[in-house]
Formats: sequence, C-alpha cells, structure tokens
Amino acid sequence: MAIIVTLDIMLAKRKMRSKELSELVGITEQNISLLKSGKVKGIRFDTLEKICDALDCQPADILTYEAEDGS
Amino acid sequence: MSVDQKSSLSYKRIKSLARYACVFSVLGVIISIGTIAYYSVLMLMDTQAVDAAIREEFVAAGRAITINGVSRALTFMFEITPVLIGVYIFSQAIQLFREYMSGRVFTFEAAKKLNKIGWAVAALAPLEILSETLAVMALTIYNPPGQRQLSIGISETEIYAIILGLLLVTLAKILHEAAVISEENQAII
Repeated sequence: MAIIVTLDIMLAKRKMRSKELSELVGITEQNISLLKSGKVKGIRFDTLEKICDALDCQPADILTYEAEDGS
Repeated sequence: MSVDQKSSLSYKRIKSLARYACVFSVLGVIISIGTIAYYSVLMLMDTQAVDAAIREEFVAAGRAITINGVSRALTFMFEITPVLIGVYIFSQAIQLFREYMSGRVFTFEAAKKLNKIGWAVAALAPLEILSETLAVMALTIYNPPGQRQLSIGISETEIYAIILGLLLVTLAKILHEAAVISEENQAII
C-alpha cells in the first residue's frame, strides 16, 4: 500500500502506549493495533483528529505516502 | 439524541419486531405441518372425510367430479404442494428473523435468506394456479366424455404474491449492497 501508517513511530516519540492512546481516542486497542499495522481500509477524519489531538501532531506525522515500485 | 443513540434505538426496534415475526413464523410452520399431518392421517384413516373436504372445495363451483383412490391421492398431492412451499418460506423466515434478533442486520446471510423467501413467494402464485388446475383435472378425468374439465384461473391474490415476491427479491439485492457497504465500513477506523 502506498500510504504508510507511522503511528508506532509517533507513539514512540511521545512515549505513549497503545492502550493509553486507545483510551484517549475512544477506540479499541485492537483497532489501534490494526491501524499501526496498516491493515485498515481507511481512517475517519474524527478518529484522525482525536489521534492528532492526543499525540499533539499533524496528520502527516502519522501518515506518509510512498510511491510504489513501477509507478 | 445522538446518531449512535438513534441507531441503537433502531436496532432495538428491529430486534423487537423480529422477535414477534419469528413467533408468527413458528406458528405458520406449526399450522402448515399440522394441516399436512391432519390430511395425511385422514387419507389413511378416514377417506370419507377427505372426500367431503374435496367436495366442499370443488363441487361448490357446480362442477361434476369423480372421486376414487387415484383422483383422491392426486388431489391431495397437488393441494399439499403449495403448503410445503409455505413451510419452506416460514422456515427461511425463522432463520432470517433469528439473524435480526441477534443484531446481524446488514449481512450477506440475511440477504441470501430474503432472496430465497422472495423467489419462493413469487413461485407460490403460479404453483397455486398449477396445483388447482391439476387437481380439477385429476377430479374430472374419470368423468364421462364431455364432462372432463381443464380449469385455469388467476386472481388478484396471485398477482399480489408475484409482486410481493419480486419486491422481496429486489430488497434482498439492496440488502446485499448494504452488506458490502457495512463490511467496508467495518474496515474503516
């Protein structure tokens, strides 16, 4: 997938655990784990807003675009 | 009231409605199987009662009929077929309402069940017409030449059944699309 989720890096920078983030955002730890592994089809704007608010970062800090090979 | 609360209330209503519908579907199965069992026992134990029931239904139309072992058995078979379809519809409805009762509304399984019910309801109308025609044929085939009959009739009820059946099939296709969207939505956090 060309969109890479870098949430784990941001969590490490902020020294925050997934459990804490899940409590702050109001979604399950399992969903945070799925998001970190990039196994989701999408992310809602309100979820993104809550994550950015909890981690005090920008959407670009947790989502990056990488061109796929051959494109 | 928030969107989540409204949605939760809607699901509660669906569950409640499904519970009642399931009870009626079970009643439908019991009545249909009871009817089949009752006439099956009569066919074995009291053929006079079966003959009386046949006369009540078919002679009322001013029709001359001949009842013997073959015509009685054939009439029983033709008359029971739509009831069997009814049992199938009720059993599928029970499974569908159980899905709804457990909160699984937008699922491929529910769409599949609704699709089956729709086709069965739509098929019931031509089957009723055919079974009635064949029953009249079986009861008049032993009449003297000139008194044998072939009767085909279609009423409003059959038209309603076809429309209702096709409507259910259409709704099943829509529900299938809803299940696709629901599945996609679950993959979005």
